Amino acid sequence: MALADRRRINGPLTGTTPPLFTSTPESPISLKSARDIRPVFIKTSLTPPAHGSAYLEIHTSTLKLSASVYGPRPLPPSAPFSPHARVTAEVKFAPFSTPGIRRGYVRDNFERDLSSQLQIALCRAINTAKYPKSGVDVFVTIIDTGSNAREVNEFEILTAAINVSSVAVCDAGVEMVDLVSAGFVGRDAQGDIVCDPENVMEKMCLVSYMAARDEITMVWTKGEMEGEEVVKMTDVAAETAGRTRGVVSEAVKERVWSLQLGGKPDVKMSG
Amino acid sequence: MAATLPPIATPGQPLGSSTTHTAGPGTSLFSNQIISTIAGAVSVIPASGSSLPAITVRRAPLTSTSASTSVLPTVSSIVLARVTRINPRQATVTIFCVGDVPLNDEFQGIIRVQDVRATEKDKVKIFESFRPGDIVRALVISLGDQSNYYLSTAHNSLGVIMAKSEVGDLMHPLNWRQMASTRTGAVEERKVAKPV
Repeated sequence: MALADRRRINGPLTGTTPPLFTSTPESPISLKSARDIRPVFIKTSLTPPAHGSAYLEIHTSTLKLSASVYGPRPLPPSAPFSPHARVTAEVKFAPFSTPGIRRGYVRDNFERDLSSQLQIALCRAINTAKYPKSGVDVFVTIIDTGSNAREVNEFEILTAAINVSSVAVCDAGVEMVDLVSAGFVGRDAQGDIVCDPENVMEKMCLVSYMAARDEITMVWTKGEMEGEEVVKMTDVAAETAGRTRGVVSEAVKERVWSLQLGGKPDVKMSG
Repeated sequence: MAATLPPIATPGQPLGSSTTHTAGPGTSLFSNQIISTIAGAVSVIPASGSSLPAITVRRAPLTSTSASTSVLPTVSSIVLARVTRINPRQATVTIFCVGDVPLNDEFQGIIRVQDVRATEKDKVKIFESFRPGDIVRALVISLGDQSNYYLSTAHNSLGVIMAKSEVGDLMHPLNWRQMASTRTGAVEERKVAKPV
């Protein structure tokens, strides 16, 4: 083969067979009951340059998020005087976060929508009057959406984003009036309310809730509902959020145990 | 009472009644309850005189080596600042330390010509008081405008604490308005802080 192209890396002469993967089942069979919520794993202080950060995973889902918080830090010189802290939130999907599609680096409308909802959910919980002329910036990166491109569960993503950023804000040492936790419910084909559903449903409701002062900071609903139904779903979603609060407050205690009180083992997965 | 307190508080957690305790740093009042506003170790500062014991929550340090931060300059706090530029009306400084706590981010402040010293304010000249690069101890008098804190050095203990001469030698204070080069003895004018 005197005429072989030596400048390029040539393929094998004999050819190869493409890899063949076994097909995965469409969606794993759910073992959780309608009232259960899936266990959540939260770990704090994993992003060293940030003032506070947190990472979240949900059991049986591949959803993975990380949040980092910078602040209180001075506002840019162009910002007008503000006697309160300015809270900004930004939700960003990693380019590789959704199986099947590649997400761009430019912020799209979906990310903008989630960002503004997250900002609303958080700013009521932060004691903004303590930090005049400064900003608290929250950045949430979705590393894995835990769903495929056809059916992104935006309620699940926003719930996780609120929970993880609540932990990260507290981890940054920013004064808060209360920890926020979020929960969401769906109404299945039989008309039953399912807490923390694994699949996208026609009617869903998300509540961001401050359990210690019994205050709701944000509500998001989807689907056609009547007044009574909205109240019922909001109630159950707030109760679901209250159950997640235990994990949220255990997660923020972790660093206090390790750096201030000389260590305490255990406390990881809990529902 | 102190025995019933948890070792660690999280934001929103009620820690005691405002009838038996006062709210110290890291806590706030919410409908007669003292609630924590940060995550940290709980402690009680014993009552002194007629005041009630105060419940405080101490913030955990950011890393195992750093101090617990997230302080901001407030009115009447003493800060350390570096002079960045001067003009006849004001000196612009960057604040890098509040009290004893170094800041993560630098804040901008200005010392206006009328805030340099307490007496003979009309005769103050900025370039005879500060030069770019000087380290100044100052008092925050106002949160100021959108980008600057307003600082004052109108006190004996406030003013330049470290400066280099025009040729770059370190200087030592001679009196409240003069500093001399440690190498050549050349005298330059500054608003000098009284050494503590």
